[in-house]
This record gives sequence, C-alpha cells and structure tokens, in this order.
Amino acid sequence: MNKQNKRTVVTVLLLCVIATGIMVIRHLSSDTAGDADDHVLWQLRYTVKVLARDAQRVYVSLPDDAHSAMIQREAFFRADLAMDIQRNADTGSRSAVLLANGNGQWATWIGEFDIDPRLNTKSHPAITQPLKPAMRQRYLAAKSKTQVGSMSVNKALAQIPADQLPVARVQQIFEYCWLNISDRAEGHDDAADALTHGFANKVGRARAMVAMCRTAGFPSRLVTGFVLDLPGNIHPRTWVEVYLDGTWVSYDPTSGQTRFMNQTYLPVRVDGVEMVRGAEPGTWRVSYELNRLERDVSPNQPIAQLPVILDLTRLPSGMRGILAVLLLLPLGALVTAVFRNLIGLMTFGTFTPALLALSFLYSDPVTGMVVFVLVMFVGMVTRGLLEYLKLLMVPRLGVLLTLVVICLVLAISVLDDLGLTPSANAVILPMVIMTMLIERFYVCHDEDGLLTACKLLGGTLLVAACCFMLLAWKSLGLAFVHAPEMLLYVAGALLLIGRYAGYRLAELFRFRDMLSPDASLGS
Amino acid sequence: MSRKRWRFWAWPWELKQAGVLGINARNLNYIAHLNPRKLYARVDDKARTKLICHEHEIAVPRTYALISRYGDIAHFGALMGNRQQFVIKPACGAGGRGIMVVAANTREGFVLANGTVLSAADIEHHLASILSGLFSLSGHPDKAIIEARVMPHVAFSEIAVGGTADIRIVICQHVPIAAMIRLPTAESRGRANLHQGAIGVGIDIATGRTTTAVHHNRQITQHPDTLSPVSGLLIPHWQQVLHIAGRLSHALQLGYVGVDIVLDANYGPMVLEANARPGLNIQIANNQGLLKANSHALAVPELKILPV
Repeated sequence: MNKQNKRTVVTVLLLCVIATGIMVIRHLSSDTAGDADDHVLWQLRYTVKVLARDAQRVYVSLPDDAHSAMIQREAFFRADLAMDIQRNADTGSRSAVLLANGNGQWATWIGEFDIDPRLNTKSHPAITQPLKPAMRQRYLAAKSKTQVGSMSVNKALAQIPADQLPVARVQQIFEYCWLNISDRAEGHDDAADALTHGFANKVGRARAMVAMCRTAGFPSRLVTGFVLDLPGNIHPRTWVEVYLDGTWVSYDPTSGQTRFMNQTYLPVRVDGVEMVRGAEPGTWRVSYELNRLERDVSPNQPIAQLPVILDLTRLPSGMRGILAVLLLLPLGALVTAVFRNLIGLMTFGTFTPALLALSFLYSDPVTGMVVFVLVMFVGMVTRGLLEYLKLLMVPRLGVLLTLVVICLVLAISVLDDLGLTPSANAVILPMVIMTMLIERFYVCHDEDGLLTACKLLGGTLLVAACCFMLLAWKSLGLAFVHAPEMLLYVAGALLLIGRYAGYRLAELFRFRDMLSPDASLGS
Repeated sequence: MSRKRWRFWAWPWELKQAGVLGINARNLNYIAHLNPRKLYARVDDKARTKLICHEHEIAVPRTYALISRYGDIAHFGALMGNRQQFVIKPACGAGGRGIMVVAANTREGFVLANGTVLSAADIEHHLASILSGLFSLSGHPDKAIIEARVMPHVAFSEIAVGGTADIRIVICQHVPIAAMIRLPTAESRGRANLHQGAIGVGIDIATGRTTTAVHHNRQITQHPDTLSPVSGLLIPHWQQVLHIAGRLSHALQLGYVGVDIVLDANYGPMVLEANARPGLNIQIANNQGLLKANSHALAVPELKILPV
C-alpha cells in the first residue's frame, strides 16, 4: 500500500469514527429524552372528497408550524387531483389548492400531518410583532356577518365601561358574549343576530366578540383550527384573537379559555372560518381524524449531550424538506462517481445528471420528462438552423437559452390551459444546464456522430434517473436530517473511490480482446 | 490458425495478468505522480509546445500565423496571401476538434481536404469559433494556429484514407514504452482519432515494424477502406522518430506523455503535439498491456518513483 492510500484509509477511518461517535451520542441522548412522556405526538388526517367538475378549484387550509406545535412530517395522497400549496401573504396561512380534472367522479385527497405539540421558541407569541397599517385596517373593518358599528353592536358595547385598560376591556367584552349569548347549534352565525336575539352558534358567538372588539377599536380576527386533546373524529374550532400590546391574544368563546391558551390549540386558518372553500356546497365532503402516534424519539427536551446546531429536527418543516434534499446531493455526487470511476459510463458534464435529477424532483416527473424531451427537440432543431447563421458562441448560446425559456413558458401556459399542471414548479428545469446540454449534444453529434452523442445522452439520463430515485427517497432524506453526520460516511466512500486504481467495469469489455497476446484474430 | 474464443468481457484478474493499464490506474499511479499539473499548459496549449520544440530544435510544421485577437481575423486574407495549403487548428483543442485542412486556395474559395469549398467569411467564422473557445478543452478563450499542411509520406498512401497518418509514442520516464500509428479512414473523415473511427496499428519499438491493428476497440488485419494489409510495414525514419520523441519528453519534463509525430514527405518526422493524458487504446493496437512495458521503464534506477 503506498503513502496516499494509507493516508486515505486513515482519513476514511477517522471520518467513520467521528460519524459513528456522533450517532451513538445522538442515540443515547434521545433515549434519555424519551423518558419524559408528558408530550405526545399527534397525527391529524384530512380526508377531502371532491366531485370533479371542469377546472374546479378547492382550497383546503393546512396546519403549519405555530408557536404551540411543530409539523414533523406531512404527506399527501391524491388521486385524479392536481395539488399546489399556496401561502396567503397577509395572514401567513397555508392552503392546498386542489384542481379536479372534470370527469364527474368523486376524487379523494388525504393530507396527513404528524404534529409535535411542543413550544416553538422561534414564534413565541410573547414576541412583539408590529401590525402593518394595512393589516390594522383589515382587522378593524366590517364584514358581511361581522357588523362593526351596527346598532346592536353599539348597544351591547354601551354596557361595558370604556375607562379602563385595554386588556380589562377586552376581557369584559369576552365575558359579555360568554354570559349574554347562549350557545345553540341551530343558532345564527351572524354577529348582529347573536347580540339581538341572545343566542347563536359557536361561530356566531365568536363573530359577536370580533364585531364588538373592532367597534371598540381593537384589531381582532377569527382563527379556526383544532384542539388536539382526544383522538377520534374531530371538528374545527373557531376562536378569537385580539391584538393587544403588540401581540395577538386568544379568547375561546367555546371553552371559555382566555389569553393563555395551552398547547393543545393548533391554529390552521387565520381570519376565516371555513377550512374547505372555493366550490359549491355539496360538491365536496371533508372529515378530520386525530390519532395518537407512538413517539420514537422525543425531542421535547433540549438534548444535553449534543450541541443544538447538530439537531436539525428543531428547524421548521419547510426548511427541513429543503435540507433533506440538500443533504442527499452528496449522494448524487457519489452516484456520479460510481458511474464514472467504477462503471466507466460517460456523461455530458460532471454534475449535469445530478442537477437534472434535482430539477425533476421539484417538478412532477412525467411533466418534467415531457418538457425535457420537448425542449431538447426544439433546441436541437434550432441549433441546427443556427449553424447556417454562423454566430459567435456566447450569443448563439444566448439565443438557445432564450428559445428554451420561451418553450418552457409556452409549455406552462399550454399545460395550464389543458388543466394539467398545478404550478410552474412542474416545469422548472435548470435552463442553463439544458442549453449547455443541447449545445454539447449538437457538437458531439457533429464531431463524433449520432451514436456517440446518443450514448452520452443515454448515460447522462441513466445517471440522472439513479440520482433522482435517491433524491426522491423521502425516508432517506429524513434519516439524513435526523443524523446529518451520515454525510461523513458519504465523504468516506467518495475518498475510497478517489483512490480506486482498479479496472472500470466498461474496461472489462473494452480490453476483452487482450487476454492472450499470442493469439490475435485471423493470424 | 489459432482463433480466440469469442468473449463478451474479461475478468479483472485476467486483464491484470495481461498487464492492461486501466484509466483509474493511469490517472492515479502515472499521471498524478509523474506529470506536475503546472506543466500541463506546455502540452495543452499547442502554441507553447511548438515554442518549446523550437527552443530544442525539434522539427514541427512551419507556423504561418498565430491568431489570438478577434481584430486579427479580418487580416486573415492578407496573412495567407496566395498560400495554397495550410491547416487551421485551435491551440487548446482536443480530440481533433476544430481542425480545418485547406488543400487549395482558388478563385471559388478555399477547398478543404475533404472537398468542401468555403468562402473567406466561412473561414473567418471558424477562426472566431476557435477564439471563443468552442473547441478548447475547458471552454476558455483560445488561440488559432495556422501552419503548413503536412504532405503525407508515400509509405502510407495505401493505408491512410483522406488524411495523414500520425505516430503516437507513449513515453514513461523518458523511455519509449509503446508506439502505434493511427490511420485515418473514410469513417473518421480523415482524422486520426481512434474514437472517431481511425485505425490504430501497434509498432514494435525495437524494429519500427507494425504489428497488430485495432478498429473501434476490435482487432483487425487490413484497412477497412482499401483492404491493404496494415501489419508488418516498416515505418520510415524510425530511429529519428524515437529520437525526436525522447528529446521532446525531456524538454517537456513530463514523466508520462504521449507524443504525436507525423512523417512529412519532404521534411521527415515532425512533432504535431504532445498529450499529458495519453489514451489507452495503444494497448489494444499493440495487443500488449502497458503495465509490463511501464514497469520496465520505471526500473531505470535513478527514476524510482512508483509502486505499480
């Protein structure tokens, strides 16, 4: 064994020891934390059935990381429904937009959320958040069933003394609604009706409080969500938030809980009541189910033994999703190294396949593939035509890039017109990489023939497919998020391949004629 | 007549026994050890290689012009004057890409070796493409070399179709360890690159006589276009070829290098270029693994660097 090989092996062993050490410490520390079982892990499951009509869009509010809970995992199951996730810029609430394909059948969409009801220090309500003027305006304005400044509301408000602290005044408004409006299922959901007749349903009671608060000059809003306490079929709960001293303070006219709501409250939709909306009544059904999960790791206590920066599970769900893909990228490099140095498969560009796979991951693979083939085809035809113009290289690549972009934009537009694509994500391909791929394919075709060019393209796509399967492996990504030190193993494997001086698989084929030097063909 | 059993692959230990050098081993054990990266520019830039050859009085095709600025392209016509034959090539080209051989300069335009007629504007566009780096190894901006066309030696008239044969000698620690002659075919469109369809014929270093031949990684005995035998031919000026290759290897100070030499009908052997990452097909052409030859070269006492 020579010097470099020795050094490499020592480095690899060192990496493995470090990675294994961190994993052992992580395992031990999560075990000790797991003894504290005062926290549970909940699974909330939405089941939405939609009667698929032409281009019918249904909006479903989704739970999100809140100060009282973290979404550990989410998964969506859909049949015959395209889905996109949007976020309301004003309220920050997330919604899934379901797009039916119009075959007149009932289509089912299921959303599953694993919720960890621990306090999220990042968005604690005690942190003062200034309210923008436009938002203040919005949360003081009248709405169709929230009659701010109407006679009945003013009459009710007149019974509450005005010369006291805001907190006390809001508390008195809440108590007024709690005592003077009785809760009847058959009652109205309208604020004015509730205050006039003295009875209303739960939403009506909450609206009455909002109307009174807004009339008194306190920005307030309805929040709809779930109370996570008992498993089984559950229903959304609507409560009231009032903006006091720079924070939103909660009041629940259903349970009577005020101000310090416990961790069981999971807000889902801000400034609204309906969890599912956007379609005619009767064309959708929804049910919610809450289950208690067995908790395998309990990160509810700060892990004492490992620095907190090594615990990626504390990050918000969206961030973790991106990190999962990021952490898998080195595996893409490993796949590329295996194909090139152990197998001997040649590709266009070194990391082009991994980057292609990454872009396919963010799009729907079928749409991505269609667009890929389309762009390659149009690109090749145009590249052939550009040859007649004799352009310099950079402007020529620029023209190709422009064309690729036009193709992508048109493809998005056409697919949307056909009702086939949920979002622009479906066709996000690395356009510069596509442009270079077209140019390299064309030049290779011109210089070395179509066969060589197709071989290289095939190799590129094969490696890209392998990278894609790896990057799309959700549980592997999550495993890396739980234990990012596993990247050291990947680095070790790359180091070992880097010192591999043996034959490549392709060479076993390439040099197959050289076995017996004395017997050459036909001699 | 002994005919080899047809096989689809060889086992690694069989290749090892045959002394076959693989790409990974070449990169790790030879190139990484013997060729300091800072010296690569000497061979990656053919203009520099030519300068080094001039300094060491090694014969190269005469340079007519070196174009490195777009502004100079317009003077191309004036530079060439009434020269009938010349070759345009990118200084940092790879795999024979971007090489244009002009065989005649007529009133209709420039006639290429393959018969295509190009206008001055076409040639200028080609020069601009070269300068923009289209053919260069890394895509960096490049220079264009315009040099004398090599007149094919009569010895190869029957076996070099549509172009010029060139001799590749692999030199390890300044000792020639393997040689082959690359013959253009109709398929390779006159170019002498094996991956483009040219033939590689092994040469016995001691005698300068051609041995076995390979086309697309398979062994052959005759030229696919002319059906002339390609084995058993004596390479003219063989001792001079070896001498030039050895001197260039010393001048370049690269420990593992492939030197490409052409035989000009009038001027004899000339260096075309050198390569710091010489290909491995030379093993198939010679039907002999480089490992055996290499270990011989590495056994030179004062140059013990390598474990193989």
